[in-house]
Amino acid sequence: MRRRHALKTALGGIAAPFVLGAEVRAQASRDGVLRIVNAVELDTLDPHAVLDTGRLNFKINVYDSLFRFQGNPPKLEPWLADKLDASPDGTVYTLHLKHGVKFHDGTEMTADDVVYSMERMLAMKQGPSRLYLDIVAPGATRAVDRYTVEFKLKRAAAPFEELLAECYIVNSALVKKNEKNGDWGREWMARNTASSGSWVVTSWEPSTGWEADRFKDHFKGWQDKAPTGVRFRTMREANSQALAMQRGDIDLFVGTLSVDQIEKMAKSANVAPMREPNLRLLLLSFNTKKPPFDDPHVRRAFSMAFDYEGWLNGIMKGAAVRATGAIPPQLPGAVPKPLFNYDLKAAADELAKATAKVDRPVSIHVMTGIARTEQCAQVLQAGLKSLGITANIVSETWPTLANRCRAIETTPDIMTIWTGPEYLDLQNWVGDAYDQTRWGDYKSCTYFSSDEITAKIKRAYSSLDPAERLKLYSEVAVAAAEGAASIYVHSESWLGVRNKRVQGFVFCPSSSGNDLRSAWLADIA
Amino acid sequence: MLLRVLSRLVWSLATLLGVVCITFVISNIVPADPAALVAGDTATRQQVAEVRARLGLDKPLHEQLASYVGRLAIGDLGKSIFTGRPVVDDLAARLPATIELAIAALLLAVAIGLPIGVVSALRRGSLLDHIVRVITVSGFAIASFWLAVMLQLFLAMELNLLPLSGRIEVPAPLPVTRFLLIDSVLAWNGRAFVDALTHLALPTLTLALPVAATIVRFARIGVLDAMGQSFVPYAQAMGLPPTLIVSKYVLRSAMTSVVTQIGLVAGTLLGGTVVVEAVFDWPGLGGYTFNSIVMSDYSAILGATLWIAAAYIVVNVLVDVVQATIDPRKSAS
Amino acid sequence: MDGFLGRLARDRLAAAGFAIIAAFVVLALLAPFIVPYPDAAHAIDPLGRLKPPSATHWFGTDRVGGDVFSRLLLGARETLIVALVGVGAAAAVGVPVGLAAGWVDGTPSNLLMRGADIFLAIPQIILAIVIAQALGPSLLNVILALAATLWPWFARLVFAETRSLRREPFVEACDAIGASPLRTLALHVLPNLASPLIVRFSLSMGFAVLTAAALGFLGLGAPAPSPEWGRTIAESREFLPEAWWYAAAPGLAIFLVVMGFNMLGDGLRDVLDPRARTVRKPAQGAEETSGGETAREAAA
Repeated sequence: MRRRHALKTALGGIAAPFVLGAEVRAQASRDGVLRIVNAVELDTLDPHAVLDTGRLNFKINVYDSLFRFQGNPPKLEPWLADKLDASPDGTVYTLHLKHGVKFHDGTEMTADDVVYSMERMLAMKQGPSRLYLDIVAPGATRAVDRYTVEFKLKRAAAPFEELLAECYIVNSALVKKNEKNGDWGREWMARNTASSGSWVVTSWEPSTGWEADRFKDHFKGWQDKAPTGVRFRTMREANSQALAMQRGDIDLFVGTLSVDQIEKMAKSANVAPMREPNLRLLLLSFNTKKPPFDDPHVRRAFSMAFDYEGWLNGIMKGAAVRATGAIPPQLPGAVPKPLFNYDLKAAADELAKATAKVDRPVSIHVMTGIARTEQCAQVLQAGLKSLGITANIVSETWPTLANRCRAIETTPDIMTIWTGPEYLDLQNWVGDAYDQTRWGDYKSCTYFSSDEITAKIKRAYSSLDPAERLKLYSEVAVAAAEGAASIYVHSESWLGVRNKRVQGFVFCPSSSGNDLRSAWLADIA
Repeated sequence: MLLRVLSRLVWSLATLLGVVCITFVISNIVPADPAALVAGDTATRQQVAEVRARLGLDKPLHEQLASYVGRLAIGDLGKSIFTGRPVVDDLAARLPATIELAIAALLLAVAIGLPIGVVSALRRGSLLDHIVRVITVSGFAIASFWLAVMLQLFLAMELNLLPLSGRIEVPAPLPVTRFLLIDSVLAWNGRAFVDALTHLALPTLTLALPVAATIVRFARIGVLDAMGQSFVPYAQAMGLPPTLIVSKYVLRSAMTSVVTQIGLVAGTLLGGTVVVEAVFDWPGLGGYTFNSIVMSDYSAILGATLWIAAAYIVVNVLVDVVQATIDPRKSAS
Repeated sequence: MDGFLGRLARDRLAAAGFAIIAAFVVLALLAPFIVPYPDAAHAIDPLGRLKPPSATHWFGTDRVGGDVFSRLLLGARETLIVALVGVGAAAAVGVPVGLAAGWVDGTPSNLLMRGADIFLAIPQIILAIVIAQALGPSLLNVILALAATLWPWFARLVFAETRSLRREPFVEACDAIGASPLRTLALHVLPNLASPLIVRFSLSMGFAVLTAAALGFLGLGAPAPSPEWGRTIAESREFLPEAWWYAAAPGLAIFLVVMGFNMLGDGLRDVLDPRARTVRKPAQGAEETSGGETAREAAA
């Protein structure tokens, strides 16, 4: 008798935590908090220090920028700005700031904050600064009055308005108070915020994530049932993410998901998969200055050694379509049709025509932790093996890989790389990639260029005639595609998952789904 | 005895210094360039050079090492190149998670291993003993990362009994000791306690099983050894009851044997957490070490490795002392 | 049948261990010739990926369509090479160091063993990770990492034995008649070390297989499309629990092989060196019973 009682108590004692645990989890979802999972650690809170998708979720939700892309297909809308006027020659821009925009500390945003933010970016020379460094000189930005800013550019820049979407404004008074030895507040800003954005950070721990409360006085106002706060959790493992989604511990996932993972998560009744058109291309880029890749025949041969159909149907499972060139297929100016198909015989013929011989193993560099890049490399590797070419796959973290692109000697033979909508202008897709004055940046890791191409790009950059710009950029794109500067693998759709309590979420390619403003929660009372 | 402890300490410091040198040299061969990582993807070569100078990475290796050791002496472990925070802060934030895990695993391993080992030795040669022997041999053969993945697969994914990863999901209690179990009790927060406990379960189980196998093995050997010694037949001859023999004399010898191994085991627990923390996304020292290595964060690598080595050395010194206390005869050096 | 082999055969665990290892070695060496899909090491079949076990693919297919069973056997080959060369290199370094340190006295000896201590003060897996990461992911670097992690164990073992043997009368006699130290070491000391060394070697193989797999799992071993077991387990995680065979197969393989080496090592020790059954109080720098290392091995 006593033994059975003891056994029951023991079993009850063991089971209790799990029952309670489930209770606990259910409780957490009723707070009105939007819970999102992030695969990348947030290591710095400084919006001017970084320009990449992984850390965009923080920037775009805690800070505001002058303009913002919204919707799909993305449209540029004034955000902090009210209006932007350009001089007829395109070198002077006058920005009218919205009145009454509040920072999180209650003070009002003025033109001085805008000037300070621009100067700060230029001085720090990190992240977003590369968008402005060749056109905005330090000191060339000034506050005309309390709400008006004048930008004087070194030369006309057609994409300038779009570039301002990356100009995030910081609370200059607050930052100046915390500057140390003229460091523009670099040290303080890495761990603190001087922000005006939709959410106010309440806690942050790099390895676990960050939390923020809704900023009630945000200038855009709030819709009914908007979340009262957001919680970003860092979870590196795909399985953890999937399980968290299935069990309702997480409401939204924005990041790179494979179709396998989506299918797994969508098995749960309260999870809805999302698939949206996107502006993101996956490339296998050649270092066209490194033999044997300086020979276009070799590059063309490699382009025909990739099993596109197998990749798109087998591994991407229809979540991507063929890319045709450097410009995404849905944008005007894109190369109309892919120039190369999977044809090992034709590839062998091209190799025979080449003057450079592939007599050494080639290396394909992929990104650590991103299985898609590894699998893509494997597909190429298998095709090359049939041609008798050995390819080694080298896995490196993205920062290491990006770093290699600073010099021709260290840039890999072949590397996987994504091109995305930093901004929509064709300069982003074509100009940044094939302009020989921009070498040293990962966007131009192919070193594919010529004087003619560079001249076209420069002319297009400063031209104010949209038709001329379109013509010039497409010509460059065609040249790059014919010269097989890269293997243009695919243009991918965006895959995401949401818990069904999340409604109204709109995916915008420019922010990679990190803009949470559109979302509201169905279970908020 | 004091002399013995002191001399051990001196040797330990020398060893630590050696560890610093070796790790420093090794971690400087890495191909990744931390200055570039800090400068960001988009910096030009000039900007990277500026960052490198700012971080002091352009000085010759021996100068860097000398200045590092100098700063070590005053307790400055440098700044993490990646997070910009002092490494000491990073470590302080991460260490409690690993210690909580290690202690939990150790306790579980002892709780399972000690009784099984003793009983198995007392019933030497029986079926039970054979089964135990096979299980312990298996315990050493399981790859801990595979065990972790399998446990995740069955207990978390299939049966949905336990969380898959992480340390806690509900809001954490106020950090007092930074041990979540203790802190949640102090804050009288039942929700947090339960949540932390369920999250702790799988990583602890993964770490504990191989350790338990070791403890079984050594408890067994210790008991067998003690039973073979002459005082046991003497005690039996004197008519002492068997339970008294077991509890007083035999167990004591067994304890010595196990205590020695616990010293070894505790040190390697800290090392073993690297894989376990990677699999369970546990925000501790092991995961931090691995990430730092991947990111070529020299200060962080050095700091973390130093702490682990120091912990290992300290534990061994402590074990030595405890051992000497338990059985003064064996401490004659 | 009372010879060495006879005694070994009668220890059932050791015999089982031997059988497993023999099977492993044979399969590993013959792998490229006997697997159903010889080019599984690099061939892909994107449309046939992640298929469950069937008649054509006994253990199913992996994430790019490779045959899991074939890759398992091909991975055995890599595992065998890495472990053998790694442990061999460790012994090649550790044994001479131990001999030298045990033979001479004073500072050189202390320095050598202190050097070994330093390597032992860093938990094995961390040391292996630091080395593998520093040198880059490849099979060779895993071997180097293994050698660097394992040599102190050989050194310590040899050191203790050499030290105690040095005081033996027959060794002192060699010294007295003017035999060179090298000769004495080679002809008289080494043979006495053979038994514990063999045991140590076998147990180290088990540890090497585990560590190499752990490094592969963490992404520090040979890169894709290597069929290495640890790496395969890491690849498979994304596809659990549906493709459970993808993770279970290599894990079981690792388990069996390491078990085999451990059982064999235990058996060898029981047969060759009965003294080692008891717990020896560690003298300065001497080794605990090899179970001590297995504690380290196990926790890795």
